[in-house]
Amino acid sequence: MKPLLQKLLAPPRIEYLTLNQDLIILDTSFGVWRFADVPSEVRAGLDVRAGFPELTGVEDILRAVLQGRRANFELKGIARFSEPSSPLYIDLYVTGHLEEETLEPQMIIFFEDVTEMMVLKQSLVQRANEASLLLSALASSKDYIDKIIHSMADALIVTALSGHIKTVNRATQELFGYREEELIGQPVSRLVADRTFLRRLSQRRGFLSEGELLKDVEVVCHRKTGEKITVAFSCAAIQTEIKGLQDLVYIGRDISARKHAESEIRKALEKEKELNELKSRFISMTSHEFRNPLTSILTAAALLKEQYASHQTLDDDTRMYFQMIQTSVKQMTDLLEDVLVIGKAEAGKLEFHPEPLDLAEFCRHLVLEMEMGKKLIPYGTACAPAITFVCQEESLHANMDEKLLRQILTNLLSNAVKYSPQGNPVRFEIRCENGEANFEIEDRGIGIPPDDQKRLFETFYRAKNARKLPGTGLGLAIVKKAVELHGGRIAVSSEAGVGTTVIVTIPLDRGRQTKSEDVIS
Amino acid sequence: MRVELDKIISSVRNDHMSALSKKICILGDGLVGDDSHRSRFVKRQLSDTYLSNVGVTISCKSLELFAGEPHQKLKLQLIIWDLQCGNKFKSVVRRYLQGASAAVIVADVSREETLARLSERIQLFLSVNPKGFIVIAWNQSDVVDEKELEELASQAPKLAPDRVLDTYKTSSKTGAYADEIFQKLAYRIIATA
Repeated sequence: MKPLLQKLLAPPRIEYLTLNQDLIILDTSFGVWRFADVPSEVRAGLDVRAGFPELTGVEDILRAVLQGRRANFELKGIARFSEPSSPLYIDLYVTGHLEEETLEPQMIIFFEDVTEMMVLKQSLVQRANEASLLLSALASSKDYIDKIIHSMADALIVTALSGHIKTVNRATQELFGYREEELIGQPVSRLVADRTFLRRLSQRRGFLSEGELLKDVEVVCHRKTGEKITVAFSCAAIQTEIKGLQDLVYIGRDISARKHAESEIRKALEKEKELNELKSRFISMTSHEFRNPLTSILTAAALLKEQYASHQTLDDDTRMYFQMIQTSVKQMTDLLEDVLVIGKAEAGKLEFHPEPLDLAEFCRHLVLEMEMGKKLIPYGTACAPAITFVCQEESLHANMDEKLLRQILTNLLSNAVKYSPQGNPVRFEIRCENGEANFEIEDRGIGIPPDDQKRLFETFYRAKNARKLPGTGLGLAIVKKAVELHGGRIAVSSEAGVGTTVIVTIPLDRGRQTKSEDVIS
Repeated sequence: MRVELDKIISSVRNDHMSALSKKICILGDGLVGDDSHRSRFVKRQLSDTYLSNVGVTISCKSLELFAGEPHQKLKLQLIIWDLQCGNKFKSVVRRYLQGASAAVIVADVSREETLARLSERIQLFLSVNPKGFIVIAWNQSDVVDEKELEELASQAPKLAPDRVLDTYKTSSKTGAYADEIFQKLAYRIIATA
């Protein structure tokens, strides 16, 4: 080898070896072994392919180089390492050469250590690959978001801070009736004409740099056709890709249908209220108007009976006729009274005036009254049952509305008596526990069938087995309203053919708990 | 890997001159697929790490083949060039392909453009080595629908019917058929040598 060539190859990253035409190594530079796949196989006299397997298969090309049919042959970027931490890459370059002394053609192979460049290239390629992976991830995420925005049912509008529209989705186009190109670049006020809303928004924006500014604000908007729609808008500020610059996102939901339905319901409710008022006015008016003629009938019948009796003694039939007039008028007056009470209750005008009251005394008196009245007006049968009143205390102090309490107990007791046609005695007990009064009325009468028990307190409802006996179906409805006014509750247990037990529980001092006058609403 | 390769080669070295050496290239879709393929073929080991390879890695695998006469074994050393075409220029790949007896072309079934790229690679290989043989390895075949794979596989050999020896359904997860592919190629190479 020429001394000049040796000098040229002095930098350690280039090594060489020479070969004869049979690919046998003739000569090597000192460090060429470190580029070999099998370093121990690199020495003069051995086949070069043992140390450099990449020369397998290209023997024909090498011979062409040797014979001068081809100028050179090169292989670049051959990796020679197993551990990624200590990489080695080589380029090899084969060219022909004439031995100076023997003039034998030889091949010379130069090996160059290109690790540094290849490692750089590797990291470049890695970066490029990562970037393209990232890019495709970004693209698919954008595609994903676009699809959501496109298919969402709410209108989405993105504007710059200036209010000019940057993006609208399909729902926006459908809601407002504009095409996308008619909206892009236009001020948002073209869609949202409500000045107050826009002003509120710009005020809020001063306080909040990012996040939700307004939520579900109802705004009246106009479609392209001029049609009015109500839209609930939420608005948020979002950071754009430019730092410090924000966009505004409007999400709008068409609530025109809901608004319409709401106003329909409101109208219907008002109408119903009006009708109810009309009904109660009518009831109270007619009740009063009925009562006067009834009083006249009763008075006239009494006078007639007196006049008749002064002339002659009354025979049994005549006495019975007078009795019938009186009974019927009494029934009608009671009915009117009931209708009046229920009418008031339904119109929310039944008043609650609690006053101090001795419950024991009140109940005893009430039972006595009923016993007296029972003799006057026997219910269907000749022998009406007795009411057994039980009270352990001499006196029981409570704060209740006497008038309503009378309604409750009279109705329940007269029911118990009425539906005990066999004359079995009715038991009425009053107890006080935990600041509450328990009124328990127990009969052994016809009972209430299970199906009817659920509808017991409905106005005008009567149980199937009670329809033969006179009654209006108003009594228990009144009881319920009156008990509710007292803040109490009713429990009914009954078995058809065995009997019924009703327990009414009322706070002893409801009046003090609610100072103001209570009205059923 | 180097250690193992040394072992492989030292087993060949004793009668080095008598052993036949042949060059085989693995062409593929880059990324995980063919890298793990090579690992499978050479080391029976799966490499999970993904590296964007530059340059070319060369490994050796020696096989013992029965050559006609009973009890007579023939040693064949395969010099396996791993060419991942992903980031390389065609002209560079052509240079690497020179002198190869056969190619394993790895087609990643999970990619849409597979068939077009497969055909491109077959043409590229045959344009450099018109007498070379090809085996197609359908990689990732365990992650796609069976029917879809059948359809792809049935179309592929038509691309070069006289040169494509066979197609195999391989998987970088299981490494199925790695040995069979090399055996197949080796016998065919011996037969024509």
